[in-house]
Parts: sequence; C-alpha cells; structure tokens
Amino acid sequence: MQTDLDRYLLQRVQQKDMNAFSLLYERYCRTLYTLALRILSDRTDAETIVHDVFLYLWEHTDTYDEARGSLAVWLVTLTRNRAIDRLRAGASKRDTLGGADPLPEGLEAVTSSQPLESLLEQERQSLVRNALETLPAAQRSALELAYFDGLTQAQIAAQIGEPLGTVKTRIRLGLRKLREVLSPYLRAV
Amino acid sequence: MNHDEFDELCALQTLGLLDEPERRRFEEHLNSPCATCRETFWELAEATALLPYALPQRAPSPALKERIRQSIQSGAPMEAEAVRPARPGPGRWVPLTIAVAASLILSLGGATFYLNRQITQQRETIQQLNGRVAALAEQAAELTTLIRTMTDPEVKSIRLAGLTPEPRASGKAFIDARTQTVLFYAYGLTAAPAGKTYQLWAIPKGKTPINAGVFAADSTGSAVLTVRGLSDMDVLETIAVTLEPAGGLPQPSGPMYLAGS
Repeated sequence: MQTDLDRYLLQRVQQKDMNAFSLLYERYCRTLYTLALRILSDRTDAETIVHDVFLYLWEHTDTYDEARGSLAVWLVTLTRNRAIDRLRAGASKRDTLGGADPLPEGLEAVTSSQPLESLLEQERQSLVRNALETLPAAQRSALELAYFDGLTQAQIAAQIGEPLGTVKTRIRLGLRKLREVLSPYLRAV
Repeated sequence: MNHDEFDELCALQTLGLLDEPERRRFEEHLNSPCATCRETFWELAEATALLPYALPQRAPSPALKERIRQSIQSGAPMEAEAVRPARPGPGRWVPLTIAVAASLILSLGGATFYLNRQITQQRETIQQLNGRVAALAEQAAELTTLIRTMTDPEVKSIRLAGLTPEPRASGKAFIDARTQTVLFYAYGLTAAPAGKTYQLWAIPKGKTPINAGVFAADSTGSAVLTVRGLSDMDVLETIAVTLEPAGGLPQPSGPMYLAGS
C-alpha cells in the first residue's frame, strides 16, 4: 500500500513541511478516526487518539521504518494500539462515571471532501467488505472481537464458548483467507 | 520454526494477541534471513490494516486539524485536551461550506504542487543520468581505442623520459603508421606557466619536427592527446614535448620537457 506520494510527503514532513503534513492528514484522518471511533465508541476519545497519532507522526517520523510496512500500516497500527490501550484503561472509569460521548444513532457516514480520495475510499471499502464476506461468520466474528474490541484470545474463547485452540485456528484461517483475497490489492494501491 | 507455526504467530501478532514468550519467538524468526516469512508477515499486516476500511468512514470534526496544528506550533504534550464538539447551529453552514471548499482547493493545489515538483525533480535526475551515461560511453570508447592500440602488434610504442626542466615527468606514445595516428600520454607535468603551452612534436628520421598539437596538463599532471593525419609515421624516430608560447609554433623554440626515440 506504500505509494510514492506517501513516501514523498513523509520526506517533506521529516523536513517539517506543514503543507505536506496537512496532505497526509487529509489522506488518513478519516480512516484513523473511524477506527478509533469503532474501538472507543466515543467521538472525543477518538479525536484525542487521532490528535496524538498525528502529533506523533510529526515528532517521530524517524521511528517509521518502511522495511516493516507501509505508512498506512504504521498509522493504523499506532491508532489501534492507542485506542485499545485507552479502551482498557478507561473501561472501568467509564463504567463508574456513567459513560462517554456516544455516537448518535443514524449519523451519516462522511466521505472525503476530495473527489479522488473519496473514490479510492469507496473502492477500498467495497474490496475489504467483499473480502470479509468471503469468510465464514465464525472466523469473521473472531477477527472483529480481536481487532476492534481488543479482546484477548482467552476473552474471545470465553465469549464465544469455544476452546482457545479453536479461537487461534479461526483467527489464523480468517487472516490467511483475507490476505489471499486482498493479495492483488496489497501492493497495488 | 516451520512456516505454518510462523503463520499462526504472524496472525496473532498482527492482532496484538501474542503473549511475551510467543512474541519473542516471533521476533526471533522475523529477524532471521527467511524472506518468505517476512513477506508473509508484511502481507498479513497490510491485510489487517485494511480492516478499518470495511467500516463506514466517518470524519473527525474540522476543528481537530487546527488543534493538531496548534499543538505542533506550541510544542504541546502528546495528550492534548480535546474539546468536546458543540452541535453546529444553522448559521454554521455557510462558513463551513466555504471552509470545505477552501480546504478542497488548498489540498488539490498542494497535491498538484508536490506532484509537479516530483516530476520536475525526476526529469532533472533523468537529465543528469543521461549526461553521466554519455560521459561513460565516451570513456568506454577511449578505453577501447587504447586497448586496441596497445595490443595491436603493428603499433609501435615510444617511452618518453623527463628532461632537465621536469626530470620526474614521463610519457608514452603509441604510433600507428597505417592510420597515421599517434596516441600520447604524459604524466608528472606541472601546469604550464601563463602564456605558455606544451607542444608535441613528431620527428621523422632526417626530417624537421612535425607539429603534433598543443596540450595542457590536468591537475594531476597528466595529459592525453590523440593526433591523426601525421605524415612520415613509417620513418618516425623521435617524439618530444617542448614548452612554447600559447597556441604553439610551427617549429620548436622552447625548452624540451620530454623526449623519447
């Protein structure tokens, strides 16, 4: 998924070019915010995560290693890890304080204000959804519980009432299938 | 660890599900020279990172970008206080539309600017590389000529010794009588004084010296000269270098720096 544009913008950000940073923000803010919001179910918390991830990008571009994955993977992983950490740290606090700032029902999804980015987003969304639909429901569910809900293997096993080995197998087979289906796409964008 | 085992660890790692001992085993194998496994992990990580795209995409509040910009400018700590978004009133729509349009124009303008710069830089690089290729081709042609000349049994060679003004200098000339060509190399010459130049002479047996051209030594004291169309090469006896007024003379007049027979 690494693109020449990402690589170039990242080089400019390393040189503290705010315009390049702004373009990277426009490219990734929706995806990262969507992910953080799905994990935390709270707009303010999700924005805090996105804020911190972009600030980290600005200050620590040198810690990114292209050999270990594309910029998109790095940003998504940073966002997910921070959101999961916040979810785990805040779960008990939120329980006692009476909840956060939930997403209103029926709020429309927002696409990019840039026509090309918007088309690419729709294309990616359709590809990934189709890929997920090729998985058996049990595998898809195990992946979602792990990725979006941050549950451990043991927690997933307890929730679905299956042995730990079954959870591992479902995750392994699910991700392998996902990789196979998305394979032509992984290097193409 | 075989590939299936690593496959499973990869899947769990991309979801952050490995415990510490498993993670260490995973890292150990990932850092091994197994390219297949690294590729597997890379692709699994890429595939996993696409999962958020399956969700209906939502946009953060427009104020977030400005908050990030302010945090950068003020050098704020990582955990900046996020402002809870207020519900927009009806009066916000016009400024919001303008802001979105302005953002769109700026973003597209910025992207175009960067892409154009990238194209310009790549064109410059191509031009530089083309120039380099041409220079290398020229060098290769020179070397080919030299090798052919040096290995041709019909080509005579004359070694030139440094004389009093420049005793450490030396030279070598390759003479091909068939093509009336002299290939001349000089070493250890200091740069000629202002208004002066080195001049090469071909001297056939019993005849007056023939002007074979002027040359300058480079910063390393070396010089290369190829001279074509010289007459009487079959009876060439001596090759010499003198120091002459700039532009050279029809016959030698200055001190002799190199000579060989």
